[in-house]
Amino acid sequence: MQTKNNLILSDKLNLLNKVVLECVQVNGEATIVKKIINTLIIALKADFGFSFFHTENQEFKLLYKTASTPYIPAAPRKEGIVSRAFSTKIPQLVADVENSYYVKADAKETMSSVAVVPITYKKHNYGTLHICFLKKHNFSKEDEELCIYAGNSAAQAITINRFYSQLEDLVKERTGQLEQINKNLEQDKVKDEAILDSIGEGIIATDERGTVIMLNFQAEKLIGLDQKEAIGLPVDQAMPLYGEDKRLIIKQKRPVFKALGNKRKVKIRNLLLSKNNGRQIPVSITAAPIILNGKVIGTIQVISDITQEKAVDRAKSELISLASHQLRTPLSAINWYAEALLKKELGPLNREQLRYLGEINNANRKMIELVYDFLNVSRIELGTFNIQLSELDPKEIAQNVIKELRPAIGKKRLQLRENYNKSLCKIFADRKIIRIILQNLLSNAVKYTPRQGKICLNMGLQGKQRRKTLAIRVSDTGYGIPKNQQNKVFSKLFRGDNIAAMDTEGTGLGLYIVKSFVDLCKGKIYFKSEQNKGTSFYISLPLPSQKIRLKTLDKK
Amino acid sequence: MANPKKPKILIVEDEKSLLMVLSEKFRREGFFVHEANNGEQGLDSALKNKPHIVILDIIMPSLDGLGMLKKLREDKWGNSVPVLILSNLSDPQQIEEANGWGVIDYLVKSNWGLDDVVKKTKETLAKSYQTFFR
Repeated sequence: MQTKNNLILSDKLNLLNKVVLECVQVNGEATIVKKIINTLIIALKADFGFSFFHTENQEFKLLYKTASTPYIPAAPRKEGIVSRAFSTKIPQLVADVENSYYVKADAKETMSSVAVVPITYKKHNYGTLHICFLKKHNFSKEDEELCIYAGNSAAQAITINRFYSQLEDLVKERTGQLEQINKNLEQDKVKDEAILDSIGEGIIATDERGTVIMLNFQAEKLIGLDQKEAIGLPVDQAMPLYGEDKRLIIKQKRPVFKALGNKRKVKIRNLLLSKNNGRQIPVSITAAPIILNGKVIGTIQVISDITQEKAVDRAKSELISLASHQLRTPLSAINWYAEALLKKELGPLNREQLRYLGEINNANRKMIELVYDFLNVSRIELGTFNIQLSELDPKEIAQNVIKELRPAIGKKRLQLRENYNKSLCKIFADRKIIRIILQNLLSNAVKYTPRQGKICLNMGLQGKQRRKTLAIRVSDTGYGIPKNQQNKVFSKLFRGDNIAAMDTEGTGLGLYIVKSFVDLCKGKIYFKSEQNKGTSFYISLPLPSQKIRLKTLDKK
Repeated sequence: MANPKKPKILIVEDEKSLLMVLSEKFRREGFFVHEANNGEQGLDSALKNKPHIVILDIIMPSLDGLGMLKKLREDKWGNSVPVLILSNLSDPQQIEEANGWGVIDYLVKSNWGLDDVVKKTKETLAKSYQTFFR
């Protein structure tokens, strides 16, 4: 009997278990309650059942009743059997409803016995299960256990269910948020792309290894590859760059890798970008590192097509070249006629006439010099200046330049020291370039040093046999270059604020020409300057090796 | 007829004002001056008058200086006459080409004063004719 009872109990528990497991996957508390009540009714052989649940504002609500419930149960009282079930947290089994103090009058009329099972989990009182008997029912121990089990199971199912639905709500909410974020991102992306594409410059972003990760429409056009083709390529493959000398720029010298290496913005002008189709276009490129938390994570590269500027620049240089050539004939005429008059070859002139003529001649000489400067600039810019090597004595050139400057040096009572190192001998170089460099540096020193100041010229050869350089230093105790303008010294038409105010003669071309020639010879130039203390220019020009010298001689 | 002791010079220059100031200067310096306005005239004059020295501009209409020089060098006499280029072209290629045709020197107008040009001419004559102007 015992075994049979136990078997029955375990069957019943199994059934309940199954129901509870089902319930976990079921949506809605009413369904859970319905299933458990119906199972309990079968298990306890009861007649009907219903369930009250707490609403959000702690009132009772009839959540479910079996179809067989003969009345509509009213909400439980405060001091009633439901309260007792909640406070004791164990099922209240009332075999004799009629004589129970806790059971309400309406219930007394419809049932003889009732089991009120609390559904509680930890502090939560979810609600109750009411299992009702029309005839009097004596509750066994087994009944009680089933009721406890059913109550706990219902509580667990509901807890899980509530947790799931909360989770679901949360997921829904989060999904909604994510969707919104995605939408915003999508909009931002479209906006960013629209902005990037409307920029006239090509923009290419790379990662920290220099691999292309993004490019705009302009960049696609410039390099001749579309996004699909370019993204993922190393930037040096996506867009090969060449220098003005048409030599391929090696990886380390490319703006992107310089920016990555130095963690600084790099700008390189006058490069040639080789398009996918082999065509080369002149560009200038700025690459800036993208730094996140102190780490370089990539670069942004801005590519400007400077074809137009180049063409304009070239036209301008050609015009200057042409104009300069044309100007030289009338300037020569003035020069020669004035010379003949000044030398009184056509008869005597009075002092005033000679003075006036002298002024005309001086102005004319300056004009000739200016035209020379213009011609040199246009030659440099058009790339038509050819280096002509010949054997020359740099000391002799320096002394010739100084001879021409003697009158000005004497007028200002300047002290000039010339130091020619013992190493200085005849060299192979371009006479014109050496002369222009010395002429500009020395005449600047004379021009921009106040009366009785000092100027010093040092010249010598440096380095070993194969790699000799001509070293030139010109220092003065002059007005100096203002600190805030020192970075512009070699730019075209630069004139220091301090000297522009007192001297109107300079053209701002001299140092630009010097720098251009030094660059042309692959030499180096730098300077130190302090305002009102003086300036020193240092130049080193590599001299051609034996091989090149022999070649030049062969040509002649 | 020209004084046989006077050095004969041919100046080929298309720019009238320059030609004038050069001719007058050389006359003052005791030269017998022949003038030409372009390469063609210059070639004719040279072959006819056989000057001791030619001063030659480069950029000129009809036949330019280098063109005239080439033709001059084809002549037996013209092959050895000393020629000084006096031009405003300071293009290294032009200078090289001129040197290839056996010119004595290449003078850039705006760099050279009148006196300097005369000095150079006299030096060249002295070298070329040894005893002529001692």
